[in-house]
Amino acid sequence: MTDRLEAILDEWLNEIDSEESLEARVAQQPALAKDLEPLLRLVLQLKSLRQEQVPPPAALQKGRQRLLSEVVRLKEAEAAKRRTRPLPVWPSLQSLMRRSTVTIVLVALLLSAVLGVGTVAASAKSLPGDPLYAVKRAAEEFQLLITFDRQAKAQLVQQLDERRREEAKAIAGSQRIAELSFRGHVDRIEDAHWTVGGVVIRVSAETALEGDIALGTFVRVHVRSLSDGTLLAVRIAAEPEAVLTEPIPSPTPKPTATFTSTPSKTPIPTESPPAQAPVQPPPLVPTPTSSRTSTPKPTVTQTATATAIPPTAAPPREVKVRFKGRIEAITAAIWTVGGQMVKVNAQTRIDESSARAAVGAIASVIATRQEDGSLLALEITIEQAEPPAEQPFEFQGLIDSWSSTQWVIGSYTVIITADTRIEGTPQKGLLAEVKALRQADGTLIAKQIVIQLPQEEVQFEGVIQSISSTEWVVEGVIVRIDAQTVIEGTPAVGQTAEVQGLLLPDGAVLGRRIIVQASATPTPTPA
Amino acid sequence: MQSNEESALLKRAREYDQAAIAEIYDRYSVRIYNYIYHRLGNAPLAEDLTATVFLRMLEAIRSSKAWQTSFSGWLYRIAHNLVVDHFRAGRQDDVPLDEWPVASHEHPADVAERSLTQQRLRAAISQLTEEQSLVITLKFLEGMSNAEIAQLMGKSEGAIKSLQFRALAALRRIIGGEEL
Repeated sequence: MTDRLEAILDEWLNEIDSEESLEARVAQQPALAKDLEPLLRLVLQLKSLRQEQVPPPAALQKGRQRLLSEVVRLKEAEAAKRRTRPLPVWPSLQSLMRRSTVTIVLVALLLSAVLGVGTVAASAKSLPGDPLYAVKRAAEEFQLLITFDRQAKAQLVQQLDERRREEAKAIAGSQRIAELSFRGHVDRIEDAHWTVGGVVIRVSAETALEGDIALGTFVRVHVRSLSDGTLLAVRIAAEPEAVLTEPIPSPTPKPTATFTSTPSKTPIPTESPPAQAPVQPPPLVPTPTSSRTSTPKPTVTQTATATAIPPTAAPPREVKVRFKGRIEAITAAIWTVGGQMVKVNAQTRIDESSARAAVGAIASVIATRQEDGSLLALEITIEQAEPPAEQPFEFQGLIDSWSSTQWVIGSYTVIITADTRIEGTPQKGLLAEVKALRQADGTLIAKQIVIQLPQEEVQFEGVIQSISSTEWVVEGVIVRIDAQTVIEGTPAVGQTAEVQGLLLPDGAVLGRRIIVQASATPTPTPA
Repeated sequence: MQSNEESALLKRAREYDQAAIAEIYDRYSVRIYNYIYHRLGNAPLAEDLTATVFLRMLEAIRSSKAWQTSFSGWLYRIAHNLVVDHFRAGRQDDVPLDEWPVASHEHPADVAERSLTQQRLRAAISQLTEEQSLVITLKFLEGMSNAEIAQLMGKSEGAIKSLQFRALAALRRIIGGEEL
């Protein structure tokens, strides 16, 4: 019976789109009108909610940018974790380079053998996001490593900076989606559009600006290219510039000169000054922004860490790093923030004005690099408390279905685990109180389900209109059948039955006892 | 059922490949937006919740519980949960009636009454089970065929017919004696 109604309803749904068409169809099949007409009227109401013209989703582009920003953040967090793990091959290559020129030759041969001369050559025109781009960058790193002459190295760094800018323009021109960074002077600032090293970028309210930045400042820009060719700036940080100049015979840098490394989320070895073997900075040359600083800035190359530039009279200097991340561990002497270990002492200022220092909280750290390479925190600011991974959620609802893995209660699907405590026996239509934990994706993990048995008893008599193994319809009332339902007599559609049961919250009756009156005609057994 | 192409796209997305995630957004955002808009009748809210759906997707895309069969079905379920939360939080009255467009030939009182009726109906849909409200919305508000809904929900067309019948019956019980 129900199957037939379902099929007819489905057929009629496609034919009915107005009050007139509904009445015409019902008039042709009056026998079905009683059951189907109310449902069809409801369908007409539902269709009225349907808008022919959905408003244009103007802000979907904004949502897209939010999503892609989040992707960048997640990737950076992952990269920060990876950076804290020692790389098995590259550092050892670097140490080899410092030891012997013989090994340089060996490493060069090794690179050529592993990558192939053709591969390296083929990578020359690759862009960020291309498979060969990593090869291109590795080849450049290698080239920097084996360039010992200070002047030649500075020249090479400038060439590489120019190459990065050309790549940025090419990415924008090809409207590809990629992440990249490049360096250059701020040439122009016009509202949201800046020009850095000849490359036009867009700056938004979410762009992180680090350091004193004005026209002429040398900066590193991290951008995300959008499919419309825009380069959206994620972070712009002032950086020391590699300056091409003739060596000064007796360098006498002012003792007051200090160096502050590029602020970054985590200290990146290739962008930070050397940890153990301090490199004498190139001769001090005032940068275009020197008017805003009391002392001239020293310059540093992108890969100065690996270069064995002969030290001259190096004044003691302080290398500051700034990074941000999740607090992973706290001990009396050492904290781990974003995978980076940093020492704390009595002089470390810990700012808990926004949130309490605890594992899981987000903190930004300003630290100095010590002679032994370790970091000593000057200031730790707790920016955000630990976000709750899962949130408690309680609700009540009628049980719709249940299995060993999930139940549908009210409008929610809850996941059942080995830890879920269930009180009572489930039955469709029974009220259940649920205590659950909501996961980040909205999934509900049930911790406790308490099934409430209805208290109101009902008794009525009527004609059996349909029968299934779980549900009967008697005189228009749905009667649910479970293991506790006692059925007396042989039920069949059209026979009269007396029903005793409990009134469920959804209007159905949970049958406790059904007495089917005897009939003279043969009847089928329940499905 | 996922095509090889979609499986590859999702695999890349799980590795936080920006281009893959952008493609997923471009592929599904309008559909998810339409779904939420039809459920709430509020464009700014639909835009905001659409963005939230995809942020939740990103948070959970690596989870083994994320989806079993249909990725798009999973996205719709996230959207459904957000819509239900919205109704449960009692925020469905956020949209003042004067923001509803008034056709020149309609009396403002008729428009107000119709919008109230529609909001009641939307609230009633949110009291259905997840599957019931999905099938009602996709079928009657978005005009999808049974075959399309079956594919999206990972069910047979027969199961969708039954579900649609049960959903309409349940919706009728919920609105009960209310005059719509």
